[in-house]
Amino acid sequence: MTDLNELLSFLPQKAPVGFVKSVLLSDEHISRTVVSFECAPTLSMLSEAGAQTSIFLRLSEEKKAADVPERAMGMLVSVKSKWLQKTTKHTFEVESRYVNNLDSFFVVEFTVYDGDVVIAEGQVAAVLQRNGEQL
Amino acid sequence: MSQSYLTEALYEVIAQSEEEVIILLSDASHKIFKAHFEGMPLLPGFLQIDIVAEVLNKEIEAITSAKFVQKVLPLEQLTYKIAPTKRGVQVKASNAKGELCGDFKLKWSDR
Repeated sequence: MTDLNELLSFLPQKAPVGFVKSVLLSDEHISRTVVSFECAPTLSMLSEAGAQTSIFLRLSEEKKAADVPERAMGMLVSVKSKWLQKTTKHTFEVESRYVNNLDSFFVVEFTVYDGDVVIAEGQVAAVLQRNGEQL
Repeated sequence: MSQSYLTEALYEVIAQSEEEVIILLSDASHKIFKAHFEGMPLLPGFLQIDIVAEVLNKEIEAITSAKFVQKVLPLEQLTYKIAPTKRGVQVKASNAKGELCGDFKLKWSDR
């Protein structure tokens, strides 16, 4: 079994933009991470954390069969999100789930938790790219 | 205007009003461009939104929709056009060629 934190090397965003600090869960349907910021985050920063968490969704067998590489980058194309409870904390857990998972395009929902409390949620859509070109 | 740890020295404000904000991005040596991404510097989409909110001292309550249309590179000038809507504001960000880079429908409040 892969050490979940070895997966962190998959994250193309580096500090200070790489918000994911550890990976708690990574499968074909759900990924969950711990994210951290140097200040209380904006809603945009939490949305980016949702997008980064989606990187740890495992490729489906269909995508593997279609030769989509494990390290394909998802370039963000759209976001919607909202605060449910504002916070001054800096560290949270984020869960991402597929809504849609097509060949080179996917949509995920994300939820941001402060303990058991949901503080923000939203949806991001991205296209998979390799070396800056859409797959 | 107070800049965050991510946006410090990332951009210079060229002009600002409630309807329009023009900024010039730093060069590729900025830590954000080194981090996003190594060897392929791009302004992260989330910072397109945070920059205009920061310049206008707004706090974003909801991102009703945000579409990232065009890559934004170091040293680019971005012009944000801000228009009120029934439920908030619409912000369109364009580069110096007039190409739309981002189209954002936001709910925001004064900080």
